[in-house]
Amino acid sequence: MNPAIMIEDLNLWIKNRQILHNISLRAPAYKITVIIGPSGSGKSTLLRTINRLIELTEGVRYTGMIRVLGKDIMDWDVYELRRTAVYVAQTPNPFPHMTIYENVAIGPVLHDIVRDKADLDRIVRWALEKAMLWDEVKGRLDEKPGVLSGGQQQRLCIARALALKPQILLLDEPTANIDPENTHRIEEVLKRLRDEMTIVLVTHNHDQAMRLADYLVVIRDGHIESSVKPGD
Amino acid sequence: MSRHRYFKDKLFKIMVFVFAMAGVAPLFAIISAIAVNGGKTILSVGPGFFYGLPSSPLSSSPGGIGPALVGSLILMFLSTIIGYPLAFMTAVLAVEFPESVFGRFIDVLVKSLLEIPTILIGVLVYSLLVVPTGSFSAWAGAIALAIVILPYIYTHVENSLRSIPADIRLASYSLGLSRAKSIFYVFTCEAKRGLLTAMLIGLARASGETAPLLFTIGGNWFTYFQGLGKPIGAVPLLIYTYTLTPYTNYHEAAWGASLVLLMVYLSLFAVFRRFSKP
Repeated sequence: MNPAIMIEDLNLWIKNRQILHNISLRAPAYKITVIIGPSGSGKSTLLRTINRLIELTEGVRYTGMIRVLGKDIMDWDVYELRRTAVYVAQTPNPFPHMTIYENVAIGPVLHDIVRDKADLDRIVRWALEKAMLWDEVKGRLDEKPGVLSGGQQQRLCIARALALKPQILLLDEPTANIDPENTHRIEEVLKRLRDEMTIVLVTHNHDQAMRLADYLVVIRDGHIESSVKPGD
Repeated sequence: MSRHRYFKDKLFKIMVFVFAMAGVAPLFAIISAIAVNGGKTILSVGPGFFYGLPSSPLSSSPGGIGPALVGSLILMFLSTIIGYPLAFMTAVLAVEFPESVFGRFIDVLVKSLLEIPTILIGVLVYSLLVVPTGSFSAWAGAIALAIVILPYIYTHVENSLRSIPADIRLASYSLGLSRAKSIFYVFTCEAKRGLLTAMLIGLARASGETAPLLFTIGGNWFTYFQGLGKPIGAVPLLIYTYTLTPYTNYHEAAWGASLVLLMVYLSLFAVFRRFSKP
């Protein structure tokens, strides 16, 4: 099976400081690839490079090749690439001025992928169910996300990403600031999504990596130290 | 605390109080003088002061300021709808494209407008618009005011857009939204309080400016709005013009007009304070 993401000899600099060194990896389709490493090792930078979000950072340049779904990322329309490989940040960042419903609906609406209001309602519900949040928010969809706990807000952000029906989900330490119960729920969400999309998860939690990873990539100081299949 | 330090502390507190009072005293003096004199005029004329026409110079009545008041409202509206979009898009350029040389150039240019004497803006519009068309006009006044208020609106819009948290920006771009969609559907909603405040600041500035109107609107006090290409009145210019005349009733009308202007300004300021609170 072709990998969903293929990276060859990636080197990346931010303001002339090299962050990533000769990174090569493959993220198989419909699997969870976990990138693990200590803080400051370049995990998040690597993740943001896959869908070119890193280009929003000033002073970035990189060499090498990244293919997403078989196509060089430079050949993608950048917005289409980011919609196909959606990034979820470490800190929950729902749009505070929008309601819970609007937070999930904004992607499909602005990308024009819904036919009508009923279609949008279906997608919003589907995404919230997939993020295991529907039962907790179904009676207060018109409230602002500020009423939710941190863990719920992070699941809302995952639902917001899922509403775009992405083929790849890029998660940057999504449970870093979340309580154990919500961490467990998010892990359950990811396990359920495994069959529907390719997931790349960054974490520095070894236990979580072992629980979730189909493939495990260890990164340290911008270098890939090892790339293994847990259990091998 | 030693006696010496006690007296030094007391002296410092007294000095702070005295200087603070000296700082705000002129403001109280202005407001009270306008309230007393302007109040007398408005009470003597009644509601007709707001919609009536000016009286003749030797009349016993101060008359009304209707055409000037309507003219001011029209000029405030026009200058804001011209100046706001320009200031907004300029601020977007400066905030969203900070690495662009053009963006930085525009930023410096617009901010330098704050320092230019507003009468020069009036002279510029006079030479570019009034002289070629051969007539003072509402358009000329509105454009002059739009240039005057542009840097004030720009500064507030820029601050509002810059205050959007980085993680909100990241969230928007990570959903694959283009820069334009992010700005208009996410960032402006996020910063709407600041953007509204910027509009109020623009309206407030436009309501009180006199110098840019001296050479542009012609000061039509006796007829209501006749068209955008025709001369028009405005309250600040009416105050200036009436004050220079030797007629007592015009001086009284100028006090009344000053109170009206102050009320408009304070109302906008009150709304501004309401919206600028987090």
